[in-house]
Amino acid sequence: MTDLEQRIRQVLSDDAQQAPRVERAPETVRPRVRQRQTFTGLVAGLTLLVVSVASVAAIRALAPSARTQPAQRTTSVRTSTIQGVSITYPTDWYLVALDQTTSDWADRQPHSAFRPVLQLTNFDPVDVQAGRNWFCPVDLGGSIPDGGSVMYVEAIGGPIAEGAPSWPVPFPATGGNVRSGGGCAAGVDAGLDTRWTADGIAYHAVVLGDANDPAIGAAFGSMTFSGGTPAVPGNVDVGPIEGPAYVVDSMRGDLGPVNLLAQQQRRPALGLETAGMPVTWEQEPWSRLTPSQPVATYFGNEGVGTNEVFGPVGPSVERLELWLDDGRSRPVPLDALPPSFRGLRAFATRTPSDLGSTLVALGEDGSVLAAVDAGGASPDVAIRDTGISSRTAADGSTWWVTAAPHGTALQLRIWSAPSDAAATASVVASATGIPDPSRLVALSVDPFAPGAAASRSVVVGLVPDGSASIELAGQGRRVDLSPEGFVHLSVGRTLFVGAIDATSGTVRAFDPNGSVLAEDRFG
Amino acid sequence: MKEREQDTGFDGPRSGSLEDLYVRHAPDAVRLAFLLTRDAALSEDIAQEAFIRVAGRFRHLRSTGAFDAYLRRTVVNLCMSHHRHEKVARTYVRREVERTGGREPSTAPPDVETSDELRAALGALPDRQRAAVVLRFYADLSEQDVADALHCSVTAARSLVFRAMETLRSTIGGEDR
Repeated sequence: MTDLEQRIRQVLSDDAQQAPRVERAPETVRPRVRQRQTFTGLVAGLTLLVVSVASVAAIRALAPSARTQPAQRTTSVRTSTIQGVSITYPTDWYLVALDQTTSDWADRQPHSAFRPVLQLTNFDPVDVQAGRNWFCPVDLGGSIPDGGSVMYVEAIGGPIAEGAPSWPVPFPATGGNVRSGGGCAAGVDAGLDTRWTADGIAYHAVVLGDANDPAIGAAFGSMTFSGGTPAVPGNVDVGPIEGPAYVVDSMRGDLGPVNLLAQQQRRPALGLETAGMPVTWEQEPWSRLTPSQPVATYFGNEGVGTNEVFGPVGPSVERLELWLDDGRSRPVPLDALPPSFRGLRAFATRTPSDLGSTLVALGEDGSVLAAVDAGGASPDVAIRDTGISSRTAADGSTWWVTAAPHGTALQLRIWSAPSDAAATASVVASATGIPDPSRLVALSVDPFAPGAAASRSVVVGLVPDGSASIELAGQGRRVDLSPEGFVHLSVGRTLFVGAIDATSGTVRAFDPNGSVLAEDRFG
Repeated sequence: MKEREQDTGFDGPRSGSLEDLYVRHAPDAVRLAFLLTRDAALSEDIAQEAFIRVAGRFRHLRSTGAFDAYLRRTVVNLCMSHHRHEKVARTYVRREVERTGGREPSTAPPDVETSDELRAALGALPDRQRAAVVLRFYADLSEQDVADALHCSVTAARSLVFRAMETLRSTIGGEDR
């Protein structure tokens, strides 16, 4: 330490002695400290609040998707119209157009006759692996998955009750039970069971599963109703069972158990008219009909790939024949019905899938009493309008082709299993947005003929887009697949399904110039 | 418990602790302010204001054990601020005197014996240099603590002390290293 520094210390120490002495805190210090502490606390708290609010606002601004995640269903919606009922629903949901073929009319009483219209689900109603095949009102298998919602809408026959509410009606998720004998899955707890009238028709809706999903409520509220005229030919005309037009459908034993159905139905194409001759079903007195035409037909395809035609013929018909477009013909057996049918007889037969045919009713003198178109060539893999499922087998393998109905939300899947065990099935191809799954394939063979599976193959595959034709060839046979049956997927590939009378062979895809785009073997 | 509260200074609204804290720290603060301002009344005011400011945010101080350091820095800041205001006022007065042709009042620090050459030289030092000298040789702080009190780097604090010492040597003519 230098002398200067020591002198500085001394001077400063001396000067410090002259500083005022502090014996105690002035009276003003304490309240001022308290005031300042309060102020500091308020500022700190306010700052913390502002920072917190700003942080939350920033997070919300930067992550809007997280906030709207629950409404993810609001992605995109689609509007479809089924039998005059328009409904808007998320595109990833499944809408099934129902018609009378999905319902078991024989189990219904006439006064509760109903017409299934649509089914909307937020899950795939067809899941082979889960054993689920859920189509209201009666084609139900498996269970609704957790979080699953099912909305079923049907039109109700009979006079409209007085005081029935008009559309729109609220969507009260009441959680009540579906009344017995009505709606889908009677007896199952329902989130909604409501009725209303719209444009002169009574409707009934049931929501099963999760009725609290806002999307199901939104879809319900989106429905509009345009007239009572069915938009799709073949739909029943709801009304009193004692109405003017009736058809009896009969299925013969070689296609399964004999079934006699009585339902009110209007098929202008078939020219049925009422002749005032009542026919009474012995055990079910509500079924009465009198066709004035000698023959009535009903076409069915129960998912086995066959074209079945069945119906009644009148007393004037001596015999019934199926005239094929290639000039051949074959007789169609007639089965007697109970006496109450007053001489009507029933028939059931198959038509070839690769040929058009005509059902001809011949009189006693051989004259043609009636000729009804029995349908043209149909796809090998036929898919019911109701959404399920064609099935075929080749070399022990089992295939399912499942699709939602045309005109609605579409999804097609092709399942494969080494045997009939559905639990081991796996999806080998799928497509969505298919405009018309009934045109999936157009082949000139019938792989579904009884006993043919062991010697035939169904070929499913993907070929590059731009394929103009696909050829299946093997064991001396060849099949050309029409591009009309191709399904263009969004992944730049075209899905095809074909069948051939061969257990192995080659599949080739050609471009419009005939050059091979892709080639592979099957079997 | 009492000992612990005294160790950490003021803890909560107990008036006794606040009184103790003031009596313990205020004298040093007053002396520091007096050496920097040469004004007894002003030094009391500055020390009191500094105490209120530091104690008012005492709960928010990062280190409650460093109350002395916080208080010292606040005292220095207030003194520097006072000098700046005083300088502005003196400049204004000088200009007014020059404009009116009057005589500028004496700016010599009051209450200080001006006959002592060193004391006068200390008083003539720039404010920050004088503060650095006071903190370094009266408060006996390290260069780091001086820098903390003056809000500057250690190098800057060392430079302030060095330049002040050079000024003092040249003023009093002493050369006694």
